[in-house]
Amino acid sequence: MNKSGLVIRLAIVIVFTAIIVGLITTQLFYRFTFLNEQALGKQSINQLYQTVLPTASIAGYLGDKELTMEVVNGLITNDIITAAAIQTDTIMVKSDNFSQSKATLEYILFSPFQKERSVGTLFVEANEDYLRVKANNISETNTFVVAIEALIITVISILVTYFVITRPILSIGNALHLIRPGTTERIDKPRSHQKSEIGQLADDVNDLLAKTELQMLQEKSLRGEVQILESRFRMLFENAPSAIALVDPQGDILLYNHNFEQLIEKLKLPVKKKLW
Amino acid sequence: MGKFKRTIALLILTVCIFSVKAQEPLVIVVNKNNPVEQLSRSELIDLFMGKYVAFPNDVKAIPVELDGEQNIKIHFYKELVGMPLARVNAYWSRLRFTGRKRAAVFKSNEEDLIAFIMANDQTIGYLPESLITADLKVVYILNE
Repeated sequence: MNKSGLVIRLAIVIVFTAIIVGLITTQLFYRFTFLNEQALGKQSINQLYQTVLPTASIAGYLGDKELTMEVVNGLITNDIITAAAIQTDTIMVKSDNFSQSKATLEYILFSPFQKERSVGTLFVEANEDYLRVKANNISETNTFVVAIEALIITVISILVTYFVITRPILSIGNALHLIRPGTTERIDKPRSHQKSEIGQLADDVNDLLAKTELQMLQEKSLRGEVQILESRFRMLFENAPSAIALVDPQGDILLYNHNFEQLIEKLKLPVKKKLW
Repeated sequence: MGKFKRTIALLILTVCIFSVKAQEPLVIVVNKNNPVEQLSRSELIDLFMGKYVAFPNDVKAIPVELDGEQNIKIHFYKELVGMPLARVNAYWSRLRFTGRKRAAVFKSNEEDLIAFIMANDQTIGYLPESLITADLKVVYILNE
């Protein structure tokens, strides 16, 4: 296969483009997915907070250790929460792995009976690893899909290029190789390219062939005419009653007729024959 | 006919609303021997909702309540914590599971309630303003 052939070149371009676009898309998608998952995680945590809020606010209000523990334990059974804690005026209940950091979400708990009276704080730590793993999984699937998509597009592009462009051009080229210029032979226009650029190319080639044929015909007839003229002139020259010779400035006889030959013989003039 | 029924229903509803609006203020009372002179709303809530079982002076408190779903009781909780009685009961049901006991004593009518407060120094209860006697001390007035 031709190394600088259209198909190879196109394949290289498409494959590289697919890889670059795929990488960029995957990276972008990963970022978006991660941010999205984080937002969803926050939303889920907010929903969980809303779910435990009535119990948590009662627990905070009463400073009841059992009830507080129940809320904390309930919260950490969720995948997206690694640790939780509730602090009230009197008690602090936290899950084993709780350590307050910047990322810790804080919710103020209000008394269930007086909405403006704060009775404690609920701390929740989101499971960033879980969110990352989830985003990774989604991204992996996406990468796989993009790769498959790129592969399919590449294969289809190559096939289309080969069957629609390269093969008709090659067939035109091959037909052109077999054609003898000046004959009535013409190349066939590919069936699927009656109106396309390749069809136009075939038309142009056929036009060129027709012009060549015409020119050759003209030349042939011209040559015939010249031949007739030449033979007539020769007859006139050969059969002229006078002796005629064509002599160059050095005295070499280039051409002479029969009468000249006879004249020389009658005059017995020596003719030196020049041997080339 | 339907329209007539609806009008009646509306009328009854209006009367009900007016009767609630026109209800006399509820007062929170303690035994006159109780050294507590006044309680804040928060302290009252804490006593009746089970956060504390003692008066601010650390003396044990016994809240006295009316049984069942009497109007005064409904009114009291509506005014104190802004909740219907059903939700207050749900609150207590929830607490029962954590092993917390309700310190309140229940009486079936106002007379028994007054008698119980007069007999015990540590009690606290709620009554319509008109039922106050000389042996009771008002520490808070709801819906003034």
